Amino acid sequence: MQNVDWKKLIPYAVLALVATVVAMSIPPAQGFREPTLAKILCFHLPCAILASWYVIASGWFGFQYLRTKRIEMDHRVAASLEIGSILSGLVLATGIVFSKAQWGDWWQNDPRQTSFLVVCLMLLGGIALRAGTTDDERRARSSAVFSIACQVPFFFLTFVYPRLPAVRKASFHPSNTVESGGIDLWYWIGLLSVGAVVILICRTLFQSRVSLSAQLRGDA
Amino acid sequence: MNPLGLLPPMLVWGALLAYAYLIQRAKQRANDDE
Repeated sequence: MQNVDWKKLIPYAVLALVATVVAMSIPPAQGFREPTLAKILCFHLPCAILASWYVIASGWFGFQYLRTKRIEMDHRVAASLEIGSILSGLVLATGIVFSKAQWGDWWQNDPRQTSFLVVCLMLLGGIALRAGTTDDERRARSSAVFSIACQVPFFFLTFVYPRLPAVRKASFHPSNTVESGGIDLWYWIGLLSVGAVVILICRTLFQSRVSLSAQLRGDA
Repeated sequence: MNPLGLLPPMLVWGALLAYAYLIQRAKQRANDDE
C-alpha cells in the first residue's frame, strides 16, 4: 500500500465527491415507487453506456490488431475488456439496488437484467481467455477474434433483444426513457456530472492499463 | 435518507479505485523488478 502514489488520486476523488453531491442533491422523481431512490439512475446509466462503449472498443481494437499486428492494439483490447467488465459488473450491481428499491426484489429474472448478465459473462470470458494463453502472439490473436465475435451477441442482447415487443412487455426495465424525454433537467445534470467523472476516470485507467501492459512486455 | 441510495456511489467509486490501485501496484512491482 505504501508504494502507491495516492496523491495522484486526489483530483479524481474530489471530482467524484462533487459529482456524488450533485447526484444526491437532485429532487425526488415522481412516478417511482421510491421517488428518493430514482437518483440511482445517475450512476446506473453512465456505467451502462460506457460499458457498451468499451465492448465496442474491444472489437475495434481487435480488428485493428488483426489488420496491423501492432501489439499496442492488443494492450488496448486487454484494457477495454477489463474496464468493460468492471463497468458491466457495476451496471448489474446498481441495477440490482434499483430493482430492490423500485420493484421490490434484488433479482427478478427481468429480461434486461439477464441479457446484461450474459454480456458481463462474455467479457469475463474474454479475460479468462487471455489469462489462459501464455504465448503473446497467440493470446493477442485469439483475444482479437473473440472481441470481434462478441460484437454480434452484444448488439443483439443490448440493442435488439430488449426492444422486441414480447420482451418489452415482460420487462420492468424501460428502453426508451432518454428518447421519449422521460428524464427531466435535474436528472440530466446528475447524469452528466457523474457520467463526465466516470468517463474521465475510465480514460485515465485505460491509458494507465495500456502503459502497464507495455511496461510488462518491455516496450516502454 | 434510505441507505440503499448510498450503495451505488460507493460501488462505482470503490470499484474504480480498486482497479486503479491494482494497476498502480502492478506498475510499482514492474519497476521494482527492473
